[in-house]
Amino acid sequence: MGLKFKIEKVLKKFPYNISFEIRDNIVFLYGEVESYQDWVEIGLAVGKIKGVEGVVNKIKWKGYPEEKIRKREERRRKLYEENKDKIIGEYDVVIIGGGVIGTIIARELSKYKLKIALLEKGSDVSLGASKANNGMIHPGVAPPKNTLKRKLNVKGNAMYDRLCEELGVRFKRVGSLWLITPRTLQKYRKYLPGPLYKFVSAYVFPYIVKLKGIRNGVKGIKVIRGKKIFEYEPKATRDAWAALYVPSTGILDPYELVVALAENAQANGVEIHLNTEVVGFIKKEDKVKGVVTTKGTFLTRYVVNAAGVYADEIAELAGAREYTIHPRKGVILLFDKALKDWVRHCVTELRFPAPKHSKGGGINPSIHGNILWGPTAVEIPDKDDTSVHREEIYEVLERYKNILPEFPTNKLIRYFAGVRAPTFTEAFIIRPAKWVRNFLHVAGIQSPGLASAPAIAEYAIEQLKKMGLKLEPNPNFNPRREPIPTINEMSLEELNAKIKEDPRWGNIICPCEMVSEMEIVEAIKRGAKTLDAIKRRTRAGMGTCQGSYCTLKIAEILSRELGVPLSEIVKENNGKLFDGTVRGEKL
Amino acid sequence: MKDIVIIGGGPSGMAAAVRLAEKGYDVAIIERKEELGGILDQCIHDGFGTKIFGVALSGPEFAGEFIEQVQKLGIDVYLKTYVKSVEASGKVKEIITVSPDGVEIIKTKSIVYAIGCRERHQFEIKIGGTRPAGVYTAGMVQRLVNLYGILPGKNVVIVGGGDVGMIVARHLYLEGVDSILVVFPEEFFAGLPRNVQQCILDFGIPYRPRTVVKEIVGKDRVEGVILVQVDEKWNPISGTEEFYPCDAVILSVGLVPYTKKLTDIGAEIDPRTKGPIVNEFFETTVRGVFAAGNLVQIFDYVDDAVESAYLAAEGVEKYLRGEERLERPIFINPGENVRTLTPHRVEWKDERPITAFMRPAIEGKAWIIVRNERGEILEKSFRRYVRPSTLERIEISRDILENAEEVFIDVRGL
Amino acid sequence: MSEVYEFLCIRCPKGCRLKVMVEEGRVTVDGYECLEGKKYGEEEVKNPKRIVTSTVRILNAKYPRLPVRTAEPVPKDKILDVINALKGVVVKAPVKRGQVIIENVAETGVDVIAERDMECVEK
Repeated sequence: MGLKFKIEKVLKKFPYNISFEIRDNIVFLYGEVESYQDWVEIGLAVGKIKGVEGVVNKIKWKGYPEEKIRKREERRRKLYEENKDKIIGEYDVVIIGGGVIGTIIARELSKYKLKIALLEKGSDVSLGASKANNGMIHPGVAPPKNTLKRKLNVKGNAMYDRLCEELGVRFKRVGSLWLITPRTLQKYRKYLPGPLYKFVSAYVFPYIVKLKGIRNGVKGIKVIRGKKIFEYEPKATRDAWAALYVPSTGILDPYELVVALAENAQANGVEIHLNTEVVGFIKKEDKVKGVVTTKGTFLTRYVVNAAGVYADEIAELAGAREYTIHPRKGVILLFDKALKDWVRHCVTELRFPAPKHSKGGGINPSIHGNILWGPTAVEIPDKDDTSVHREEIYEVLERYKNILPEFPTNKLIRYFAGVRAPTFTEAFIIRPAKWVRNFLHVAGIQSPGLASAPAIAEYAIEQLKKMGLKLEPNPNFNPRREPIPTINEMSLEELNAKIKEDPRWGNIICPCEMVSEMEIVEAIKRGAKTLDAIKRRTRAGMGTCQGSYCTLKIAEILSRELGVPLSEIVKENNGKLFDGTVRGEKL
Repeated sequence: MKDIVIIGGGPSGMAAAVRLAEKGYDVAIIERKEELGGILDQCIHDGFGTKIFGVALSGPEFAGEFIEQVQKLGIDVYLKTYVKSVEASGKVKEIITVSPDGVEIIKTKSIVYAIGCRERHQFEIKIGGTRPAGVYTAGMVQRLVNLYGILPGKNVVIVGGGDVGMIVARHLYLEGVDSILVVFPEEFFAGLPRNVQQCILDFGIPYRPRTVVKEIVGKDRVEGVILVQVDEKWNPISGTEEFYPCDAVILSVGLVPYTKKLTDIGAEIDPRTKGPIVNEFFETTVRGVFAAGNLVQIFDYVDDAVESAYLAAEGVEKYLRGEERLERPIFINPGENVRTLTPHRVEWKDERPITAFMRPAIEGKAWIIVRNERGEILEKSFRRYVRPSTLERIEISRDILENAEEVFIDVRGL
Repeated sequence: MSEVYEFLCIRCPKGCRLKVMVEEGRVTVDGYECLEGKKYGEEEVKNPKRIVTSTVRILNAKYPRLPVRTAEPVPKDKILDVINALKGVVVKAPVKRGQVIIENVAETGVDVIAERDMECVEK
């Protein structure tokens, strides 16, 4: 059966007049639909068809922000004209995007003798999905077998011990605990009368999951029952019948990782250009010659597209549009460190069938001792929409309350949202562009993207090699990166010695998290220029009071160290913290 | 070894230190900031000290009075010193501090915690939307404007009709922002009437009662808020949402005792005041560890906070002298129409009446009643006007407590 | 002709609700709990006064602003004049609490004084 016929059959299920074309197994969809949800549904339905390697969804929905998009295009074109002749330099590889994928590829590539530039449009690395996830390193049970996702997830997970050791990043294999409760197989209850329901739930279902894990290559999965569950997780819901314990699940601080990767890449010669937005490409025939940005043009032999939610637009600018990203928001709630003893593993309650488009999230400890609840999974039209609505907070509280029924939810100290970057095939797209010879897609990296990242980098570099990139080892490559010393984790003797070196190690700026002036100064020395960049590198402002005490002090240190007036200090990107002076007076 | 170490060099900490040093005890104050005075350095408005000094001083002036006494008495002061941890269970207590001079272990016979409170932030009241630059707590804005001369923004929405919110509104009005709107969920400003008059009404600053900020809008910087009206129970009324453009949101939505350091040493917390459980001399549930000021509960006036410090100082003396305690404590419980009540129990043998601080849950003329568990009225006093925004100071005679296991305090409206 | 004003007394934190009646130049106050309140009510209709607090620029000090206030209350309608008079004023540390920063501010006969000591710090 031809692809065309299969697509027609799928589209017939929708009450719209959708036209399409196929080019090298990439499907382009056109037409108009009533709602954004329909736009998503149609894209997903086509993406599921076997043989489809990408869906470019050009369908317009009611409320499609035509004007906004037109303005954005206009701005881009103008910036392109202004910057295309301003040559910044010549590179072997230009990587677009400073998230975990961009930085880890940069760091891996810095093992070779190459001139590399990483371009990031924000004021820091890790500003997209990489900063707003729960920091879980998934074991690899969930992805379907025979997928790239599965292979890279299991492999990537195993690479974390060494990677984090080299980079001085905190990492802990806390393990997952997946609870099986009377709610797990609720949908099948009517087929399983009386004691059969409990029997299947507690004695059959866990082994099906375990088997799937084993087939995916995940080691050490155990099925536990009864009291044993509460030895693992003392505060878990008492109605748990059984649980699966997966030891390889890890946790880390995702932006700590990205910052470390960026620092290490930089130390090994990679140029990192922040506040540098790609606005177009200079092409010659089917090759990119230059990447045009708001700062000027980077001439290059190869391009890696790791632009996250913007990967589709970047691809389009290069003439390599093979997929559309449909942004999927995830809301996460963060609880006070005072609750750190409440949960030991990444805990969730299994549901079968799983809620749509997500493994359902759960409750997990953060590497710093906070507790995270979430994330949700909501399709949203705006890639930048990281807003959290009050109803979403209650939704998360409601969804996971069964896992730890006594949890003091009033100790909520923050909530945030990240936007995942799935394509309609819901697969990792790591391959050379079909119509641009030196352009590598690393797109559609959604969960378990973080867990897979080290393997994604290796795989991406194999692709570049196949595309003709010469890889000659860099003899000066140093895999190690020293973290900023954290006084909160030092012994009294160590701390005292540090203070004798420089008294600023003993000047506490953030009392909630016990962060010293010198840690902040050190972060600035390493390139942090904004309040949030400092927060992510030192945790100053991340505690109980959420910065109401230390924000001003940090801004003052930034002002002093950067030689910028206090009234000009920025929170993130272009967001100035303050505005103006008293009665317009000079300071 | 010190007789007393006071943690926190704000008004309450200094008051306790001065009182004890005057009596000849060896006292030290540990202060996190580089100078004494606590939060008062940013409270440049007047109205402090009417009860203690009989005149209305500004915050820095009030602090200045105590700083002078601390200096005169030669009290040891550790500035820029952070308390990392405390071992408080034994007779000799050890405080581990971190400062630019290094790590130090200070030994003492007793401790008074006077570390004040913190401000509630946007996430505690579940404001939705984005998290851009331009959202600050009122206290931080006071500091920004009054110490650094910098404005938080030009068009400002102030959330909360309490005293701090109103005082900040006046400052911003006088210091040059373009527009101000104050919103609060109550029917009228919750703060002191005099602040309503001299901060809001004097300048005609616009305000909207029964209104809250539902969401913050803006990517890098605040671009506006979505306001929504609320009913008497503060539930949003759907359909009343309105976008209001502004570039800064200032939150004055309450203060919370900063008890982390107390829970670290195992002191018990009252869920109502959110401060420690204390006896009539402000001793926490950890023997020899006292608490004073806004750490115990949020006081309306610094004068009352200072009074709590004097009570704590008396308690410290009793403790150091090894005075006798009651065989078992008598509990003082909040009864009808009582929102918060301090102290929580009576533990010492003493003659003097017990000073209690109570926040009523109702407004208007009222009797304040002390009764036993059987409902028998032991003592009562009349108040012309009580309201939740005003903390009531009550005195309970000791003799009425004899043979009681617990008593209750009620507020009965007329 | 009589007029009735309602004020919240600002003399102490109690905040009595005052009702002030002006009848042919005769002022009567109701609702006060102490004589201060009565006085305030009378003054508030005849010549309302306020303490004005703000900051001025200070050089060589720990912070760039010095808190100041009028030593006495000034007429309410002079508040903005006082504020304007502070604009552009620069003082140098050290400063002592109570030190006069501006004499007879805005012709009110009242001085503006420093609220705190401010030491000189080398920068």
